[in-house]
Amino acid sequence: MNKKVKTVLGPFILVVLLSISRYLFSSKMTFITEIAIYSLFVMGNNILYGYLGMVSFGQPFYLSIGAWTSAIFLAYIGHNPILAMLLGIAGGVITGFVLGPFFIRLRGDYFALINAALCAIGVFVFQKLLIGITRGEDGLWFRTQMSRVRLLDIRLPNNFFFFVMIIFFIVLVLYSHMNNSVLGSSFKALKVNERKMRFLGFDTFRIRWIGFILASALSSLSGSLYALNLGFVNPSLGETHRAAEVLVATLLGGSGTVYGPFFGALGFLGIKDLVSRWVTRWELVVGVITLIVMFRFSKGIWGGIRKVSLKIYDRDERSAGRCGRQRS
Amino acid sequence: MNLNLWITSLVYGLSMSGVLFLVSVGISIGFGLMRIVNMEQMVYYTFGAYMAYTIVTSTGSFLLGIIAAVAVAAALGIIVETQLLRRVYSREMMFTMVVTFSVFLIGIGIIQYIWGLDPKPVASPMETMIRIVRVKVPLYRLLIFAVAILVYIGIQLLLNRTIMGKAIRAGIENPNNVQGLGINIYKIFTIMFVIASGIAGLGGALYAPLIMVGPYMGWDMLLFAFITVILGGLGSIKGTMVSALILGQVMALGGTLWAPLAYIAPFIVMFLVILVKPTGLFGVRGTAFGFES
Amino acid sequence: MGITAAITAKGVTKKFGDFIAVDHVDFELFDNEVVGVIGPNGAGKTTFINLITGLYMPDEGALYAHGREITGLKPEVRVGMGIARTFQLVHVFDNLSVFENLGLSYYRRLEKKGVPAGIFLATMNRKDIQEHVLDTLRLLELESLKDELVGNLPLGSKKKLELAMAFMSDPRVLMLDEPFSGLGDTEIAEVTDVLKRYIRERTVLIIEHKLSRLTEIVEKLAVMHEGKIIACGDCDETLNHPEVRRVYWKIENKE
Repeated sequence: MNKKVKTVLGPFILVVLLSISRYLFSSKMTFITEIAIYSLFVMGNNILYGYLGMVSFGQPFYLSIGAWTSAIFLAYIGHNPILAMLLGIAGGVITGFVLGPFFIRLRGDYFALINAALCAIGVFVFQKLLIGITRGEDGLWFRTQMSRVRLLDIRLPNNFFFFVMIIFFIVLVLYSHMNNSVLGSSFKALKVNERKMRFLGFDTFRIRWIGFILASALSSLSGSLYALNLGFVNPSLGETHRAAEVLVATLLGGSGTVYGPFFGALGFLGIKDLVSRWVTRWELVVGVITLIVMFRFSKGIWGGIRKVSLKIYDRDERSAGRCGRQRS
Repeated sequence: MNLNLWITSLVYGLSMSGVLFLVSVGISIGFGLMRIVNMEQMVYYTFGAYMAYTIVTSTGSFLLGIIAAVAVAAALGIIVETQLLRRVYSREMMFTMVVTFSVFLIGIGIIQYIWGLDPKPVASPMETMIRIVRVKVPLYRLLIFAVAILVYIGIQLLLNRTIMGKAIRAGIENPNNVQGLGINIYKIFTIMFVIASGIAGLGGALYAPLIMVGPYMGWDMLLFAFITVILGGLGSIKGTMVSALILGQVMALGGTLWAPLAYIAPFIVMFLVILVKPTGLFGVRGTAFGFES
Repeated sequence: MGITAAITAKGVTKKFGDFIAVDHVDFELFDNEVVGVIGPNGAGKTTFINLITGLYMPDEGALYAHGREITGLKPEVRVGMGIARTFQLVHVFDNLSVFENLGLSYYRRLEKKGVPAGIFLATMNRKDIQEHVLDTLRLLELESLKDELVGNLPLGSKKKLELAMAFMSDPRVLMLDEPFSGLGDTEIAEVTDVLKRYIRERTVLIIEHKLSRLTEIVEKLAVMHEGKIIACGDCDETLNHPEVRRVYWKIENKE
């Protein structure tokens, strides 16, 4: 029972805190919206990197699939932004479903690089090949095409903020549930000992495939929301440079955890925001932070928070007469 | 068919092959010998190009520029290898990948601080054109290819004719063996690493006059270099050479047919090759993640 | 039709290059039998288990489980048919808790088809998972370690956990690859104890290279030497077999 409550309560508290801070720092509303959207992207990458132990240098491709699907739908076909978002997710699921069987059988380094290649091909396709549809570098604008949706007119930034919060809450609850589910345990188990998983009778190929599809779906959802937020999409959204950013954010927050991606997005976008006031380009900062996190704080921000809270919790328990945790 | 066009394309392709080989041979060695994915090779490449720019603009001597490029790239290689990479050889590949990638990012950052963001032109060292079957082609592009061939021969001699080479080849086949033979494998790693980074710097310097030197020149080259290595198969120097030859021609032909193809064609080639043959052209069979059978 | 063996091997051969690890082995393991396989290192015992469980595919010969051919099947499919195993070098999930390790194993037994949608809906808190895992933990006296991260456990506990994971899946046939390797005397006694309690009325194949630890557990004994099974039968009968005395007894005496 306790865990079921926690699955909903954690995300609820987080979303409420975000909503409160939207009123405390009202000038930062778009920034908070962006953090939530970016968190979804990081959560997708976290399934690959944190849970399954696969590095991908091409996550922006899956992001751009969602963004372009929504954008093309809104610019040419329909007017309903919610439908556009659902189509974006569908695009991500289909992409993951189709590419999965080819990609996940590759070795770790090949997997990382074929995704990078895919990313480059994606930019090329959207920038040059489909220039008639996507308008290339100019970007595809569709803000005026979006229609009013009943209940919540998400064309207004304030409403869009709450729309994103609702989505973020739902996804976080599902993500938190996934972490506790047999699937989540299977992911983590697969990461450390695939052979044993097979000899417990699990079809590891399919589990990895499911993970790949989930990652792709989350990335494309994030891409769709990006598109709806900006009102236009251009090919730079899918650039390979961004693959590094999402990896760094995953590491920074704490990989393989439920709330790590949020803190990663918060930390990363926060640093980016601060640094970009002094430095126009911030590769140096990103690189240094990654190295520090990799070597010194492998558990990331969320891992650090949990460690501190565990210490307090442990002290209470120890005073109740329980042995301390073993270390080796 | 327009002969003129094809010969120009061929020569352009050869020079591309030369550059590709020079920048990717270090990655191939890293894969094969140290079992790391050293993405920071592109730092040496970029530094090489910038050194060529600085020296050529201040002294006017291209040769000096090349020497400085190789020296600085090799020095950077020593620093990175001894201070950082040595700590990560035993870690899993995923970890080293992210670490070397961060080094690459830091390298880009440093370059931005030293030279700024604007692309820099490097004066061409020679304008000589020579004739091949009635068609005039720039000699410099052919020279790049010649240098790459010389480097290839040099590496093959080093690997096949020297004691260190024998140790290295034993190390590639079985890293634990070499340690058992009483050879200090870390020393060999450092030496090979310095050679690799020097060659990458050489590649950058040679390529500099043909392009605009900018902080992000390593980005695209990183992907191309990995395509070269992957296409050729891990750890195979010969494979790297062959795939550099193929890719150079693919880029040149693609560019001749439709300009944007020059950039994207290698990606498509790699994409297809990996899907069909996940070990590359000359690679040995490995396990996919932990998949057996 | 006579009695079908739980596991049948017919002329099974596995080569690694020029080295023949398992050489035309014929073998039958019947239901409710506990058989030990002994032999010196490099005799092909582990390779033999790997062939039965599907880690390697044989170069020649065929394998059957309860009369159905399993020769080319993937390991996970064979597990689905009730063939479970443990490893000589302990294989557990270090990044999960003891409970989760067992929960995964139990879950697999419920869902015979690999990965149905239920894998996302089911959590480790499900009542039946809780009950069964706690039962098994009690059987192995591991209750106090329930929420401990497996990576923090000593080797003995990990070995016991791996056994427990095999028991959890309620296999029709269980293969144990050197369950005592790397353990101290007290831990060996504990594991022996656990095994004795479990193996009643079960079909088990145990591999060991030291005979002394097997005699109190197994009913039948087979001896492997240079890739061949040179004798198989009752413990005493096997040990008195002339060829066994020649190739194996010497080694055992030395210890």
